[in-house]
Amino acid sequence: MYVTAHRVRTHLLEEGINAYLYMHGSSLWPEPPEPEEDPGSLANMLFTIDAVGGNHVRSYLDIVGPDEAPWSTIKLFFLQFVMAMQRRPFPWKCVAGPCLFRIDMELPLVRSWRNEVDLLYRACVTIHRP
Amino acid sequence: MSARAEILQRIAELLDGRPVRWADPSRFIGDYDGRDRTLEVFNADAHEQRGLLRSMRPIREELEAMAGGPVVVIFHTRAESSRLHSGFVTAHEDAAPLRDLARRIRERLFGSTIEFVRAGGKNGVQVELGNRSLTIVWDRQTGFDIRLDIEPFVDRDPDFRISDGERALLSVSMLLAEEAKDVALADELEGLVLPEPGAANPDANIDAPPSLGFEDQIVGQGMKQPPRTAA
Repeated sequence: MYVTAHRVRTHLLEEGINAYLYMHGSSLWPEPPEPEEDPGSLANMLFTIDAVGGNHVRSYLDIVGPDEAPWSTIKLFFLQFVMAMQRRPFPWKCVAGPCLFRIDMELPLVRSWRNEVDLLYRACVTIHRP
Repeated sequence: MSARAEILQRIAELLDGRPVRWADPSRFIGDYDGRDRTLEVFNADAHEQRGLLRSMRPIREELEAMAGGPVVVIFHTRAESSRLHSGFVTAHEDAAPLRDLARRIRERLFGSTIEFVRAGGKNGVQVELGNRSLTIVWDRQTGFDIRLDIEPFVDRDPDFRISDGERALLSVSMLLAEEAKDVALADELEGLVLPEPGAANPDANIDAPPSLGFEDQIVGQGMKQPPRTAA
């Protein structure tokens, strides 16, 4: 499973968060794959900005994990990830448990980074919920 | 929202979105019973007025109980509304998308409270549900600016800027829906800090770039292609 949320800004300066859910099927990994190499198959999308394609990505959160992993487990590892990375500059990237997490954001968003992480995470949960 | 403001909103909905307001007694010459409970209804031509009074019947009793007696209704025709009250009527019409969004939020998010506000000289609504609240500001040029009411000391851009009402509703639902309570990270993240800031520049040690260098791309159901690529 690859779930990702992007904050995007359009050419018309609309701004919102779009999220995508990909599924990998029941494959076993020694390590979760990088989304660029194997994102899985797109299963669901959530658009708060309708005009997709060519928009500027201002921040993102990527989560890669087993399809069957319950969200409670993912949340646990995600919090571990944030706590481990909190004193490092962005981008953050780390494998925690069975999951790969990546976060990056532009400088203007860093001032309220907790809010940004919360919003991106919320979009990931919303798209992941059946 | 005060009871008087709330009932005005409901009357406007019953009257197909016509501008309505409580009359300002100081603007009326002469005295009459009900001076302080006079309702003005705009854009109501003579042939429509009887029907509009009928439309108000379902809340008439509630309206009178709230106002403290029978309510006097003054209708203004379209021509007179435009000639004498164009400022109020135009402002009301400008805010129509915001009122429509507020109505849909009320329907979608049961238990939410919605208050109309002015923010930065623009029309807005504040929406509260549980322990979370957000402010939506409407501007004809830029659309809906949606901002969670957190970290008020941080001067930041809106969390969402969306022109389409349906997408704005989706964003508000994502932020405030009942199930969102389970996913809120705010409490867990509360104690966390970023790298120690430099003495001169608070951002000095934050190594975030001004641009990430990515853009989104169109992907379709079943595709095995990530939705983000290098710009």
